[in-house]
Amino acid sequence: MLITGIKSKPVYTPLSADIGGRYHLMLGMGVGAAPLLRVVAQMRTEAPSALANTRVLYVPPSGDAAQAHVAEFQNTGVAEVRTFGNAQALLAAFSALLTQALMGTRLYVAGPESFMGLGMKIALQFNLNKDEIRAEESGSLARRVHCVHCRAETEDVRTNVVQCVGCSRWLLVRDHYSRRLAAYMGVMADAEAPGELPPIQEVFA
Amino acid sequence: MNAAFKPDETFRGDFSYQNSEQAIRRFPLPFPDDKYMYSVNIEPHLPGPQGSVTEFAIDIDEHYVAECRERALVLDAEPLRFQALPHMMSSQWDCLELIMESLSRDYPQHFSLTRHGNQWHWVNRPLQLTQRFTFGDPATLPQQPLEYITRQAPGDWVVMDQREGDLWTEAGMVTTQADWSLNFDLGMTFKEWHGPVPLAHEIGVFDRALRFLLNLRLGAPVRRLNWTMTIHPRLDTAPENYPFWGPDRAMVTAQNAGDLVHLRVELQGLWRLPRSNAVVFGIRCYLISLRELATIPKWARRVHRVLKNLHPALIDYKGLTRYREAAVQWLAPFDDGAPTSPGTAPD
Repeated sequence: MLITGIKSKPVYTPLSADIGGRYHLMLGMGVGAAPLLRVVAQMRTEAPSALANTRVLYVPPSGDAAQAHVAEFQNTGVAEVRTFGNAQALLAAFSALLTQALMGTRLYVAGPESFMGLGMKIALQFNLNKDEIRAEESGSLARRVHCVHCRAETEDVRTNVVQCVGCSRWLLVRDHYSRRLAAYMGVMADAEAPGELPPIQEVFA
Repeated sequence: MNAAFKPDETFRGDFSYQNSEQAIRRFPLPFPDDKYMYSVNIEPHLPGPQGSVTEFAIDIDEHYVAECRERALVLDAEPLRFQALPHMMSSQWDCLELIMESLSRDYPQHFSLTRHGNQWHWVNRPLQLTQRFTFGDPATLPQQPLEYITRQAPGDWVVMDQREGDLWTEAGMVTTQADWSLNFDLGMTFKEWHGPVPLAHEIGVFDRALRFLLNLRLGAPVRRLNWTMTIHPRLDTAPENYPFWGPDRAMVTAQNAGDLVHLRVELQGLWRLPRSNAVVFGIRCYLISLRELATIPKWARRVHRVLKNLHPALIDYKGLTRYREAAVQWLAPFDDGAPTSPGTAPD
């Protein structure tokens, strides 16, 4: 069970504008603002009319920089910028928007890994296909971990081994990722030899 | 099949499962050679020799009744071992038809299927079940069609939807698996599902296998063998229950390996389905203890050599790290260094 180097984690590529889309919906969190602003700048050069059909949902970082980030989006001339206090609130608004989304909508997601996973999970529930979604990792690589034994999800995991919030077992965090669950698999680390844990290290900063 | 069922044997608790001499001789050894590495070892699923595990499309053997009881026990405790996404209903009926047709055609003494239009009558004598239902109407069966029929079919069954040039794992009955989770993997593409397998991605195995399967034709099923090892004849080695079966791996010694360590072979069959255009993947598990295996001198030599020289990444992935050495030691006295004859058949 103690295996590493598996290559099933999702591959996210740098964002670029898909000007073939009719509507553009952007989800961003924290430093995810930068790749989204890059896309908006690209639109302004290549297809300025797209800006009027672009909406941004954004969770700014806490502190002084917050307003500056929001203002940057507003100054670009996109149709709408909505800000949220946390990822959960943003994702709820995203779900509500998808129920009325129109054909030709393109989704752009940028932010920490677990935020992106949760956004993609909702997109999947609404059957958006791969061509309609673009995502770029930006920020923390901390993981959501799904315990394969009790099915509880432990958030914001930065270490190779973590104690499950559901069943308290020590879980090895595998590189096996489920888009449906928006989580990596956690498997009991010391089942074969109770108490024998590998050194716990921060690996997902 | 001529062998009598052994309805009382168990795959848990006292592990009373054993193979008869006949079952040993027909065991599907997955090693045509004295060494092993992954390959796309896919061949047409054509009828094999009389009495072999590939004589018929779906193999019913002496363990059938006991395996179905084991599956029912797993499902009682963990209903999520059967799952199907909503759009998979048409493929569920396809699977039910495939299994009922195969079993009633190949084992008329055990199964019968009578059809008048959509009115079907199914009889399963070994499990003493009879069911009249309307094909296409889920309300006329006690469970969803795939769950209903795979509670009566040996091995695991995974249904893959085909779209966007990929195969998506979107329904399945998985209770006899070698350490993978249907609940976790449900909804994955072919390569995501196989993501954890080491080495094979790099040598292009999954690229070629996917391309091959996307072109699988109706009426031309294929098969391959895969293998790992399991402590005790435990059919259900799900990751969900790893805390309970994992410790067994630390119990193995060179003295008890003959009885504890089992070669676990999967006969994997793949069929294109007619209405849904999905592909159903049957994964039938056969278990044999090293002691049973060593009654065939050629097999003892060969398995000793395969295990002794196995690639380190495969030792790790197959979970053999803690007990491979003990198994090799137990088998060593059976290997006199003599060459083995080509192929897998007993001498």
